[in-house]
Amino acid sequence: MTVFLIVLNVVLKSLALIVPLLVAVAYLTLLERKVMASMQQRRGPNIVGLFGLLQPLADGLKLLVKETILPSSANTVIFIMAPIVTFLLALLIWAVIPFGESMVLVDLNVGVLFVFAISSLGVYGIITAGWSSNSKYAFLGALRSAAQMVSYEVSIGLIIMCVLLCAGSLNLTEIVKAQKEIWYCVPLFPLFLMFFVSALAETNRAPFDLPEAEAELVSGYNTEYAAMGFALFFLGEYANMILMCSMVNIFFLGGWLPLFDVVPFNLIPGVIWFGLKTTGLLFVFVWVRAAFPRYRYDQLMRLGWKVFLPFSLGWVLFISGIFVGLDWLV
Amino acid sequence: MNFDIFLFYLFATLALLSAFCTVTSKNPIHSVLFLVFVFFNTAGLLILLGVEFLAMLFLIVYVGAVAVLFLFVMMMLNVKISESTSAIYRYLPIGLFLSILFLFEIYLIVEGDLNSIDVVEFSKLDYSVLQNEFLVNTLWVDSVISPTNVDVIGSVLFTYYSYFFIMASFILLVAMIGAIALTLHRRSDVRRQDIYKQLQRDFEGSTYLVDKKF
Repeated sequence: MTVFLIVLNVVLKSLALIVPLLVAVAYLTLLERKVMASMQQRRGPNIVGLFGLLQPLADGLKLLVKETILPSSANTVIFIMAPIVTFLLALLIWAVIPFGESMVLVDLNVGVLFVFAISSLGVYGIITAGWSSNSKYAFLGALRSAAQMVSYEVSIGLIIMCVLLCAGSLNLTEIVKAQKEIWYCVPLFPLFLMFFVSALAETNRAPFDLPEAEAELVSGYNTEYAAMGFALFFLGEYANMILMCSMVNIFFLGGWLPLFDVVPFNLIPGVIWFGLKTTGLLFVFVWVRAAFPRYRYDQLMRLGWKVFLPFSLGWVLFISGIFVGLDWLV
Repeated sequence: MNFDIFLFYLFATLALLSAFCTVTSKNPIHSVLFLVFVFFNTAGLLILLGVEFLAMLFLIVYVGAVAVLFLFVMMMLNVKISESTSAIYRYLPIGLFLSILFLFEIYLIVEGDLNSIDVVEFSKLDYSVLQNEFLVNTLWVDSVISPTNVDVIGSVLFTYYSYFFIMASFILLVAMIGAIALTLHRRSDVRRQDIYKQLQRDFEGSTYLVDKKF
């Protein structure tokens, strides 16, 4: 009986995390289409439901009932495994994200490392998808994507290291609490910008969406996928977008902390603050997509290795130098 | 059965099985994927041991970086199916030699007193005054102070083993420079892009009359 209750507890907790996440992903797609539309002076989806609010559900239903196609020359096992892995990894990280004071599924002591480890595994879904499809477009897209993600992970790691030095803990809750006095986006402003740009590159978003450059590669690593396989990639990608925005929020914008700790602001619950900040960052993601042209591949690599890497490395040295010099280390 | 024990056997069995598959599978891509699975299970074992920091580093370094590069190279090389089984016997002697050597080293470590490592001394360092013979078995202090994995490893690595740490980093540096030196060959006839020059160009500077007859 107790075992049953424990299992039920775990299942309910996970569902309480996953279902809102999937709804958020669905409405993120709507937000993207609506915002892009209004920036390009169109209407966007407005037929299904009031103001097109049911559009994502209709899209999901369409993907669900479509035929799943397995290419005859594909490596079937890996071909089926790849979208599942992508989706699973995208869900897995959410276990350690704190949405509010003690509102977290698992409060890991090495939370930051967990996030970093799992997000660096995201490459596998993409690279195996590209290889197992046995198609030129998919393979080239996967190679581009993998190279890009690996490159930008380096600078992301170094930037996270700076934040860790300031917070003195690997626990995500502790990192947010350490920003009680001032959000890290103020003293670490250049790192904030770099982390945001790296997040764009890490999630393969415009202007770094070379892996799925439509004009060259049809749609990149998921060219051969139809129906649910494609839907899983799509969900995983958008869940990763929300995740990266939450990470920017937690590391630099004070997570669930209010803007000022005075009466009208701190009456609003922390979860709302978290959601507001993350949504704002997501809006910027879409805004960037509408505003900027795509990078060329060598420019992308140059930015990653020759600009971000030395700069973030320098910041690590600078911050640790300041901390040791002024004896601020926790 | 104890749940920890069950998990240990699960991870250990899966790790061994997939390690076997890594060696025997025909397709090199499958080999790499099995290798990734071995790393995963090993990380699970490390978490069971309570060294979650090392487990996460294991995932980041081996799975997130090393195995990805492996996979990358394997896919680019286009080695479809590996050589016939006769090749296995060619590698058998050296494989056997290495595994026996490794087994012997593990035996030496297990035989030697594990407690002599300084880590244990460190964990007793702060509160050895508080310990008396009644508290030794329960270690209540542990639950009060409880230095995290990162604290302990950092304090040992950067004090007792700092020379080894620096040496390891130099070895890595040499390897990196070596790799760069092997692949670097400057060719004079390649036109490279100079980003600063490109950004500095304006209309006046880039339009001029050429005195040339066509």
